[in-house]
Amino acid sequence: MKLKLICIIVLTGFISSFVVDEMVELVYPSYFPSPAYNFSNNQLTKSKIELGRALFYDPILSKDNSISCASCHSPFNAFAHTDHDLSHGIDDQKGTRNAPALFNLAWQSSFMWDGAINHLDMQALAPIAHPKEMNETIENVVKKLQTTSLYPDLFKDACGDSKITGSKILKALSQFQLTLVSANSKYDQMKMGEIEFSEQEKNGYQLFQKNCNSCHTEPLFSSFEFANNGLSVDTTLNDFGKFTITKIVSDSLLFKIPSLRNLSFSYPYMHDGRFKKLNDVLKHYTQLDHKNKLLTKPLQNPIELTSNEKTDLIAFLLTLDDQSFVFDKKHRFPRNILLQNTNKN
Amino acid sequence: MKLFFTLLTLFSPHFLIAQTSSFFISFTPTYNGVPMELEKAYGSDSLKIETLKFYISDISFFNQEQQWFKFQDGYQLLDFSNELKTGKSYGAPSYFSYSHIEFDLGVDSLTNVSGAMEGPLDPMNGMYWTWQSGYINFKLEGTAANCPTRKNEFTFHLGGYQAPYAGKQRISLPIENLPSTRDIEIEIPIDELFQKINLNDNNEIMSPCATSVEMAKILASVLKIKNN
Repeated sequence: MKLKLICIIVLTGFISSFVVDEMVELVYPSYFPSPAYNFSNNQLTKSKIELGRALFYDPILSKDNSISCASCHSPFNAFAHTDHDLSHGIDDQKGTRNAPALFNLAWQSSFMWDGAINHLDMQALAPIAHPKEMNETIENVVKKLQTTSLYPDLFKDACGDSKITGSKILKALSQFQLTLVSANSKYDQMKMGEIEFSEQEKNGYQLFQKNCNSCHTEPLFSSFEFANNGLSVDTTLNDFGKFTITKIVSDSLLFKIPSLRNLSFSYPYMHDGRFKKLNDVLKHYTQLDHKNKLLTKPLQNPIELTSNEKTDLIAFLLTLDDQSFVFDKKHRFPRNILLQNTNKN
Repeated sequence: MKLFFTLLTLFSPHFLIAQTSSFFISFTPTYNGVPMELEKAYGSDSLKIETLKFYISDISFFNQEQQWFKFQDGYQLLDFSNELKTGKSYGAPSYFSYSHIEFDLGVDSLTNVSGAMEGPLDPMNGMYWTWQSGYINFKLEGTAANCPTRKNEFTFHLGGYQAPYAGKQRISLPIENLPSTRDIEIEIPIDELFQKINLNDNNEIMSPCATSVEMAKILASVLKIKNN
């Protein structure tokens, strides 16, 4: 009997040491395209997502431990930074661009307003190292995390090894961000046949399809291409977009086309946050200078909207708000992990 | 029966392992043919090197024009921060010989777009740009008295994986006198490199550009086998 009990205990310990992390499958609607992210190189797991979530909300990523990713990408703003036209980083410094909203990143293969980053895994390096954002190095982040009482265990749970590396940090951050799927707006419910649009929303949808859909393509509401949308250069910033990276003249003033989902939560709009209201945006697109030969092709034909049509179009755009995404507790500050960290340190 | 055991011994894994020996491929920065020490001044311009790091991969060995052997062991990051020369040992059958060697200096475009990686390619090694995607293929930092910059510093971060500024170079070096050890020492003649660049015009490269590609080609042209 005693031997039997010992065997059971040993066997239980043996089995528990081989318990694999819970795999997580990305859930998205059938009308979404296939993701661009290659999950075979970074299979989603519960522990890795939680690790990434902790890192996303932890200011330890910044030089003076003051700024986290969430400082400029708040969950309640669809992971943008409402009310800030330009990003706001370490030592109260201002950057040169509006912090973009973060969702449906699995469908994107270039990042930043100028497309400087070619893979979600590598994106976090940019804000970590930027002197006006976190002003830190990934080498030092590794050293800092390794000396905490919290992270070596989290990495061991997630990656099977408590040794922290830059690659593991970046992949964990990707894991959390990949789970930020916004696909339950009124538009999505309409697509699933669960609800019907009002007459005003239907009219707005038609106007959208006629005037906006070629760049802000359904169902992600962006082609994620780069375009010159006719914005004049802000001479206090002198930002020439994609040209800054490629140094190819034809890339001058091309900026990444953002998704139109969650606009109510992610104002102000445009790469430099110059427009606070959707009305300002529509005014811009209906008053474009069509002598500008550099305008992206779909904008070369004038967009003409009456006042009522503008209202209808905005009514449709508001159907792209996804409250269940914005208020999803799974995406919020991980109190259970990070407050435990504070107590331990 | 004796013959049977003899044959068995000859073809046993132990015997085959015994026939494998290792050889070392190393890289050495030199000035006038003499191995350089980091942070020591050389020549009339007091040229000092503070950082020298680069990636190599895809080492292939040829006998005459035929490829003999290719080591598919991924990327090596050679970092001279603590030593005069650095390299790696390779194991191959003792009969294995070669008359020229080829390798890539830099990181290929597919690797550059494949996300985060471990080991030599981990961004924590300081060989990945942060403000834009892409590996730094070759990093050379130091000072020279004739360099018209603050503290006479030069900074060369050569990289780029997209046309027209793709910087990876395929290096091909003939070997005329292969030593019996089969070891190969590849010289990086820093003096010759600096003779071919004008520090007045070119002293800082920190992004993919035409000058970066041009310098990567110059670098490729000066590499040579020591005592060849």
